Amino acid sequence: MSVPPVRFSGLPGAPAPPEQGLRTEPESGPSVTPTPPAGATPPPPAVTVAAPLVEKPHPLTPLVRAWVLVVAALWAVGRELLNGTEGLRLPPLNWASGLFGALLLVLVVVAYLDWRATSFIVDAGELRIETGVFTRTSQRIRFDRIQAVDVTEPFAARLLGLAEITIDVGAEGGHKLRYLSRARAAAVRDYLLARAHGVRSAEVNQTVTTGVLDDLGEHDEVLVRVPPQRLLLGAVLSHEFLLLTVPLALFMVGMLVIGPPGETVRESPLIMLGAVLPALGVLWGFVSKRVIGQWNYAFVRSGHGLKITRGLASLTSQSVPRHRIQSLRIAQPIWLRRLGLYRLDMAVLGHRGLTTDEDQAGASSILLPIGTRAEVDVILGTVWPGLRLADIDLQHSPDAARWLQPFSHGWVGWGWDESVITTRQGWLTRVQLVVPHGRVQSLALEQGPLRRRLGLAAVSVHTTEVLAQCVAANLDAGTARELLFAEKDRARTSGLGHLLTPAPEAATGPTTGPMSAG
Amino acid sequence: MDDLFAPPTQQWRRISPAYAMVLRIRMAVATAILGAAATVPVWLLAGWVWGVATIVACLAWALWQWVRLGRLVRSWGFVERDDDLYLTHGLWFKELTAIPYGRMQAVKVESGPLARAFGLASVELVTASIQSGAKIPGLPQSDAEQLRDRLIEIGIGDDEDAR
Repeated sequence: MSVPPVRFSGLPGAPAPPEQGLRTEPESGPSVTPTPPAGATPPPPAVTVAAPLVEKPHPLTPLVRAWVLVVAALWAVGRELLNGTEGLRLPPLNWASGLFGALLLVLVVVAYLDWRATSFIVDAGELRIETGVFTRTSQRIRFDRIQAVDVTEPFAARLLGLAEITIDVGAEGGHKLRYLSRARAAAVRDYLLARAHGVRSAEVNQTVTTGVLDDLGEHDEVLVRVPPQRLLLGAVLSHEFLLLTVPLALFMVGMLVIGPPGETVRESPLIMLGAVLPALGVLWGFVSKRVIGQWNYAFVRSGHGLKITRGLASLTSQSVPRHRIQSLRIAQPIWLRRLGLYRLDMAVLGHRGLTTDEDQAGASSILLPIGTRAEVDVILGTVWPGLRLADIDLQHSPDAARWLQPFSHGWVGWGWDESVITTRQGWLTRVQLVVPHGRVQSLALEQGPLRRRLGLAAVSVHTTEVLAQCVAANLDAGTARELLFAEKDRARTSGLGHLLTPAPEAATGPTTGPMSAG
Repeated sequence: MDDLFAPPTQQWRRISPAYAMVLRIRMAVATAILGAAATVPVWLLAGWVWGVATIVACLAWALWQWVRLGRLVRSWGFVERDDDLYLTHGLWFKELTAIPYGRMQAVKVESGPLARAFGLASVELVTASIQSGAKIPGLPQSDAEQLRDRLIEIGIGDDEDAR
């Protein structure tokens, strides 16, 4: 391991208080004392703190941030140069091109100054992001506030071999370090995670490598990987795709067979292209987003936790914060039922801007875009080791409920064990929601006029981030009332230690303070 | 109230009947505005018969709502127990909501101008979930403040598992 380049030597002083980190672990050793530069006075005998690490963004950063402008400028200049029959000639030197040139020069200078003024400084207890040419801004992030550190490569950065680091502090939006070279970003990410876990003597490991197509380190273990053909299958066999294709096909068939008045279509079917091409464009966009956005999806166990890497145009590496997961959803659209494929989503506390879109580069709620039951079980077993979903007795609705749920009567149900409550609903997409008792915020018993006629009621379980309505629908009225009061008691008294630690071992010692069994 | 929405213990505490007047005034104003917006084009386009028919329909609606809002306010109830709070409301779509004290993050007491004129306020219990929707409207101001103080004293958000 090499020592990071130090821009200035650390100041000797009192040792910083022990960091809280993501897990409370004992300190891993004395902090690293830097070798004083030649010619410096010997440091006083007080304990020195680790030298601050100063990181500058990559010089190509302004290029990435303004890549649209750069491409436009290049295109304009290139077009000018290649224009005309005389071959290459310079553009005429009039006031328009002069103005454009001056503007470009100003932009370049500003971008360079901005790059000079930005730096990322890792200090004893915090990370500082200093930016600003005229007004200096310093954002401070304490290590014990860091929840997750992710590496993403937006498309423009990826072309140049750069990446950005997103730091999630549990509040809205993360802090971003833009842009570092890919290897450096991975090394700094590991370093920040180590510091966040309380390892004070961590250093930046220059030998960490990361691939071009994924973000795996040497010791990372890939638990689940989704092959591209399955992604394609999932995209084709989805509600959105079929909703676009089927009407389009019907339209085309109708036009060819029946034909509008005038019969021009039958003579030249190409006229239909005017209507069909945009639809095809939308279809193509949808499929490519879903496939490209989730390309090479991998669920990985790395040294510091779990993460998901995915993406072709923009590579995203996103941490899975097990302790902040509020609920899980297992969904199966009707088209995938024969194939036995599922989708797994998670609701995470504090992930503002969490999207369910498949193509977003950034934190998304998707835990597994499409996978077999075995893969779903692997992920469930990794995220919540104490979960015994198959052992839960599911109760089904009484016969009177057939009036209200004619198609999903066989599927709808609910059940609970000492850790979680689970409900099933849905017909076209069969959804199963799993909510730990400790994550239940409130409960409601609901009965509308139809249910009252049939002697049924529904119990709705409220959680913080909503993936789908967690409702035990259409229960017998007496059972619903019992469930309400029983679940309310369970919500009050149960904690998550049992779920987060593997069941055979009892919760050994403090896992983390708030998470220990209540 | 049938047994399904009976309180867990004791009786439901009711909100102030004066709240019905607040709701009725709001309803009357809204109906007047919308009724006028509907009647004028109908009268102009379809003649005075349809115009009068529209007015009669609006008046009938307003009368039905007038009576119904009184019953709605009587259907509101809440009960504080040792560890949790229960709310119920609704005529057609009845609901019974249970909120453990440990899950409450904040208590909000609000009153709009109309409610203030009647000396009423609403108490809203904020949990970490936006679905909870636990709002007790139409309490007398002093009752609302006492309820808020009691809830705060019990200790809101004490339960760390609510993360």
